[in-house]
Amino acid sequence: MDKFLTFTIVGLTLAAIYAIIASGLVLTYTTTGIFNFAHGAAGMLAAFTYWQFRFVWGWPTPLALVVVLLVLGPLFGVLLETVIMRGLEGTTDTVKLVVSISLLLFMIALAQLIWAPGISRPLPGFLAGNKPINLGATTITWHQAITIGVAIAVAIGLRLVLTRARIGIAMRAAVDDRSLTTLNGAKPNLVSMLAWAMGTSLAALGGILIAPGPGLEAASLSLLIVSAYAAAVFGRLRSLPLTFLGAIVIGLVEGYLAGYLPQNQYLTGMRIASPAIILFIVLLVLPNPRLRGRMTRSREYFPTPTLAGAIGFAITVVIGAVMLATTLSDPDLITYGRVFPIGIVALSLVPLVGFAGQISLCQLSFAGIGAIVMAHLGAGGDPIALVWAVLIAAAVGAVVALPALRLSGIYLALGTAAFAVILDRWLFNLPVLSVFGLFDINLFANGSVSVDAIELFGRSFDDPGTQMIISAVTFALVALLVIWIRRGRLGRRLLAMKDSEAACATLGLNLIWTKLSVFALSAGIAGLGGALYATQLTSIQPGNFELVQSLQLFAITVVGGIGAVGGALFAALSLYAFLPLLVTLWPSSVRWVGLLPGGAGIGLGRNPNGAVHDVREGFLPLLAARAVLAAMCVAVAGAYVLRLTNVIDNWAFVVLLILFPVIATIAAGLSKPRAVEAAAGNDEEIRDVPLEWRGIDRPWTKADLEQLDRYLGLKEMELHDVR
Amino acid sequence: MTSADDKASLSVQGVTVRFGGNIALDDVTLAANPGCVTGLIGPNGAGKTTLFNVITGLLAPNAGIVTMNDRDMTKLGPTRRARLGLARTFQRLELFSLLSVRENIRVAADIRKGWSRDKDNPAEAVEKIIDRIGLRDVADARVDSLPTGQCRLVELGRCLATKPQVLLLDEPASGQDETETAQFAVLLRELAAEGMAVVLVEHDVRLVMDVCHTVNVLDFGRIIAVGTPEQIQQDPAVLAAYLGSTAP
Amino acid sequence: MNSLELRGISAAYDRIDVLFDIDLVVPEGNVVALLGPNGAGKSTLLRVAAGLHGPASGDVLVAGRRVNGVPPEELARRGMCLIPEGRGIFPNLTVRENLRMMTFTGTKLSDVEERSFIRFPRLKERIGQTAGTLSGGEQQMLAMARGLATDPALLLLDELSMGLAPIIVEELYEIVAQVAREGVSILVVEQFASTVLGVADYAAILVQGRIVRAGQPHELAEDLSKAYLGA
Repeated sequence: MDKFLTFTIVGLTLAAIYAIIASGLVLTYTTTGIFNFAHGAAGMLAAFTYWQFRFVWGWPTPLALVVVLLVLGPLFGVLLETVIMRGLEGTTDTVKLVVSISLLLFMIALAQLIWAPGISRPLPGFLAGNKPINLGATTITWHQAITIGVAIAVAIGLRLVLTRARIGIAMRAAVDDRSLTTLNGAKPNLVSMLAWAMGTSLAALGGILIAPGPGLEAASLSLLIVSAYAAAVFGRLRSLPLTFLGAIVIGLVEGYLAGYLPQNQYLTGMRIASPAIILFIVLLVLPNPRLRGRMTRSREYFPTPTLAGAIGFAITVVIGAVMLATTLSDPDLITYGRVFPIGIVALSLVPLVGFAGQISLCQLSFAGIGAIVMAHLGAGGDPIALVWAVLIAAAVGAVVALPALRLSGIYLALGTAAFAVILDRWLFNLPVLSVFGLFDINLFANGSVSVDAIELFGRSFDDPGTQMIISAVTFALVALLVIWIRRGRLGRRLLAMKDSEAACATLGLNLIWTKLSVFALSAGIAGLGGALYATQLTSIQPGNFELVQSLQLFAITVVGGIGAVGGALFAALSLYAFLPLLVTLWPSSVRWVGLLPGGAGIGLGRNPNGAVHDVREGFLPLLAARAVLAAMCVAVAGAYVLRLTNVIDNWAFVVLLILFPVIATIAAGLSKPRAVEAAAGNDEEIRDVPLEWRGIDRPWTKADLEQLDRYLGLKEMELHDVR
Repeated sequence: MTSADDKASLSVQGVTVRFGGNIALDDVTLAANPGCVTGLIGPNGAGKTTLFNVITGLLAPNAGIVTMNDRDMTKLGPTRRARLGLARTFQRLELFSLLSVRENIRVAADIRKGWSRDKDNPAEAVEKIIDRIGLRDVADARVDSLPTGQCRLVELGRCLATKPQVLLLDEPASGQDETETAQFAVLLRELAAEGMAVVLVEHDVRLVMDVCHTVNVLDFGRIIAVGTPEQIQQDPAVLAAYLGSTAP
Repeated sequence: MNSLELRGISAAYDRIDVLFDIDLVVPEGNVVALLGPNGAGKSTLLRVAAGLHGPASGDVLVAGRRVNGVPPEELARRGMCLIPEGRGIFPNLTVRENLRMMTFTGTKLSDVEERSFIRFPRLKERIGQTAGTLSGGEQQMLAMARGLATDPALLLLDELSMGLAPIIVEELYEIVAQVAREGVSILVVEQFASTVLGVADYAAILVQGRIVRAGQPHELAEDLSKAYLGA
């Protein structure tokens, strides 16, 4: 009985913290429609800041608390609302998600920049020195008692604010009907700012209360938020009372698992992963939402790739890889060789997110599964293991997607994030598991697994150069596959489904089956990327496939352009070539380079078409000017020969590689009149450009003018006037 | 499509839908016969689109049944109903905005090809439909760039690609100019003559009176009158619904 | 002086043109009725007047001053009040909380409640009830009470009668007439025509985004059935 009570108290303490964090999340989500993935990270920053004030600068506890919770927290919330979140009104779910995920990445990087990781920063609980309170059968620490008390106070306080204070009533009114609040003269922006101020303060409070348990570590503290998300999902992200109930369920489950779970190496991870598991179960039982038509009109524009463009892209990638493989040193090849396998994982996002509009935050988890398959089934270099990696990852992808498919984007994001957490915290850390003594299931063997290079026709492809070329060729082939899908029946169907599920269903399309197949396809591609990644790494460990990396890849692929294969290459190049290169060239940048991916996502995640689209537009004149293009290719080939014959070194070669296309583009721009004519002659290409971009994206033509007239109904008006 | 067995008739019996305390549809009964255009008119908020949502399975009614060819479809989802030969357009256009006119229709033709045992080539079927709805000139244009009237035709073309037996049209003429509406009326009559059961929700009263064989009037979620267009125009209850209870 | 003046208003939703060059004037203290069939653009015109929807061209003048681009909450503070189509209430708030939302315009809660309960005594009985659970007529009364609570100079009413039984509609229009007698200018959009014609000083018929007929209410009665039913 003592034990039961003790762990009830442990559970209730966790429940209290989850409730505090989750209620802040619900507050911002309902009033402003933005699901803040960075909510937990705000709590994490607050915990670090509090630690800094209290234990480094030695401020008294009350002062540190007041400054963090009542000054910095609300200010930070208002800052987020005014600078970042307000601009997201009317954007798609994907964009909102990318921005808040990028914010999460940025805040983790920021914390690691200010408070270097790896140093122990003890944060004792409140009144840790005092003797626990004796409750007869058991005891409760002061920190626990304070935590539970604070949660009760928050519940009562929120209720009072939301039902008694006028601004609180206005917040609830904004949930009902935002435009109607403006008719009443309430300032909706003020309501949003207040919601974010309160929400961030609650996150800060939760962060300070929870940090003494797991300790001050930026990433894990930020991702503890998944437990709070699970609580919020109980209330469908809307109801505060149900959120509190959810928090209690999750907290108690976690508490009792801590107390009663057999202490063995297989199940310890399950306790840490339990909130994610509960989240998964809740998603399974949530009732079906009504099928709706399109909610927000997207402004995105992904042109259908041409066959010539696709083949050109594939060939360029392979030639580029061959050049790199033959010029770089082995250590450099190992560093930059990751570009192509990770690029394949990023490619897996293109059909799923870009075409079908579904969201997955666990692509690297699928890659991890592919890597494990490769490690075990590919022992000795059997290339058939690649096929198994694809098939098994695809099967797992289908199973993961199933519960969340019925639900909207945000739930899918949460479900896949929860899956990644279950793998990160539990399954990937399992030791060898013997099933009834029949066979062993061995994932990472409680540490790391070595991977053999692929062997074909008696030759082992174990040198980094060859591996890079294999990966690049595979990347090019997968890119062609994705383009083929886009141009074919499945691609049209996925784009149609993204636009209007209601229309697709009433035309007889089986939505679940379609979503399931694209999920499986995407997971399979990710598995292939993971398998190749594994051969390149030669030794893999769970840390290679963590949620944070999936988040980063997702955000940067969207920045690059999620609707085109170029976006995937952009993401892989930025994360695994540009950033390491930057650190090599400018060693002191290593301190802040981690801020870049998050910063890029916050700043650029809003461009619905991605950066690659703009780059492609920039190169269009060059592609039209055939002579200049040919000259550039010759020049590049010449530089390559000079490099191979060691006439120039790597740096000069890289400079030339960058310089030639730039010069060529300028040269093509000088011969512009011809290019304009060529573009104008190509009627089909002009039609592709949305009306409002004509004359900006492409030269203005008479056909455009006619179409604009038709669109504006000018003819109709004239007719009317005559009448 | 020649034997009478192929021809469907849609029947809605006693359908009631409540949203919270408000009754959106109250014991609505409606029939649509093959070869006929059945009109459904009524003031704003009368429940016309709600009824279409119930018929297509996007919304579950609180009571009542929906049958096609005497088969009860009330428990089936929208996909199954579509495969039984039901198609609809949307008042708020639900086009696939990233695709061209041709691709929009092709998606529908491919969906049908995917589950049916038809031998037709979907690509050819799409070309025939493009000609039929008269959008040959803009077949490669993205639907985003088209005026509303043509968008409505694309939605119709998409429906036709599924070879429906029952076709529900939700305000198909809104956004069309007079010439377009006149052409549309011809097309509607043709479709009915081929044996389709067409249900038409429309605000353009002239079009309704022109093409419909039967007109149902919905008001406050109730069917208040059924009859030929001439009967409806004279019906005092209809006048009252539109003009107020004490209309002259 | 005109309380509201619309000059050459054209408007569109997405790419659908809804209004074409509309001119409409609401003189101070008058009730103007805007009639027309579904989809004619009546509600859009009201939304343009209230600043909720930007016109593609044309000017909106309130009390003689051009207010294009002025945010709706600012117009509300200047004495304009729109009661939108489909019950302008917050369904998850109680009746009292709904009334309290009106105090953002600077009116005291006690004044709001007093004014509301004089006109709508039934609301006083329902003060603690969640608005979404009220009957349709009571919800519309709450919406009107909310609108009138701040003592507006200009009231915009959108489809007051939608989904309500005729007897309740008449009750509501009696209140409209009473409010008009107090000197409030009113622009009312209605499909349910005859009741409002009894109250209006002036009426216009909107069909497919254009005003096809305007004049004294009694002059319009015949044109209406043609506009609605084509006969």
